[in-house]
Amino acid sequence: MIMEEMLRAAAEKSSELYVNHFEHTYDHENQHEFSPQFEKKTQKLKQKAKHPFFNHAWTRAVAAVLCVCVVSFALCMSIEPIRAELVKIFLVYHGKYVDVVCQSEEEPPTSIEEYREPMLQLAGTEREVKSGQWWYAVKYTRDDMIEMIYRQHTMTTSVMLNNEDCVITDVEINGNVGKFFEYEDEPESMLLAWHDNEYSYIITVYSSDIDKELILSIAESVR
Amino acid sequence: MITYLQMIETDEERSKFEQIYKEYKGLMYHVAYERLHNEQDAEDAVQHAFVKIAENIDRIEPAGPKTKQLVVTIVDNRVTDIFRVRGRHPTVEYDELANVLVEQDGTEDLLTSCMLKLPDIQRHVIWLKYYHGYTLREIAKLLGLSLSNAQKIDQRAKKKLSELYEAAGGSL
Repeated sequence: MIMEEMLRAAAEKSSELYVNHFEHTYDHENQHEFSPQFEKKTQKLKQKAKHPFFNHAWTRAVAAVLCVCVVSFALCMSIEPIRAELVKIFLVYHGKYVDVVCQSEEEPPTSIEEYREPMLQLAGTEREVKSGQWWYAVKYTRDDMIEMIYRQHTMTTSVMLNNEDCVITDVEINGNVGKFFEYEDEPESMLLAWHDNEYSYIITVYSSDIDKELILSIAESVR
Repeated sequence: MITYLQMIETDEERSKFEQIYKEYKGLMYHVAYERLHNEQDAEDAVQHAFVKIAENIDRIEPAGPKTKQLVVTIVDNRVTDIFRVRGRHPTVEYDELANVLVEQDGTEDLLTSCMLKLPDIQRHVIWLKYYHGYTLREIAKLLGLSLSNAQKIDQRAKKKLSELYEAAGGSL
């Protein structure tokens, strides 16, 4: 493993070399004459900067309107028929995402009545737990880096998952159908979504040290 | 259009920003143009970089050698984004550049050479973290990334650096 002191020294040196490379060919005396559009935008910015109160008031007004919109949206989403209708709309307008809606053979709980977690956990990681009425989440970190996030949802919760640049395959978790996402370029390398007729679950993996077999084992250990 | 001076709260910060703007806009344009070879694109890259500088002005030092390297990193990163979005490849071959730069300097610092061979985004994150001392959260904000993406890039960069270093004969 490369020591931090070595990294710092090399970072400083390489950054200096890189900038010097461009400075060798940079003529301070004949600088680029920026376009009128660039200068105009900059002038406008500097003029606006002379009136910070007005600009801050405008920013605060916009922020207040956004807060009202978010709160109104959250209230609407708490009403089942509206939430269902809006979710249908999301399916239409967000083609990048796939809405994983789990169909249960029984009537599932409409709130999290029992917290469930993988019995098989990543060694050496710190757990951070958060929960809400319809969800329960555990974040596993090591040295401040997120390794994995486990989530439990009610089956009526709509969960939008990134569908871009990934291969989705079917898997089976304890006799139930699941979907396994393998991403090419996203920060999350793999994601597993499944249900057990009571709740739906998602495991999102960020560490390249965790492979598919381990994720499936972790999922199968959820109790 | 985001008005970057609007984000600056105090007279001191406004003054710092204007100083950086005046001191480095020419160099930043030069860096962007050398890679993009297009005036409009280069100006866009510089403008975007100054938006980021203004958003993070409270965490940036006044004009000086280290700040110069920071602003070059920010505009360089924007250029990389432009390449990525447009599906273009940079015109500089970084293996070659890395060798040239190290030879010009006259040193044989293997790790420095390997660092220059990292992909742009990985190199930028390493510079910002280990030279400029920013946290990954701050780096994410500076480069317009999510925190988890910045973490991932940092992990990959160190792994890649180790591989390059070992392949070049370095011992870990």
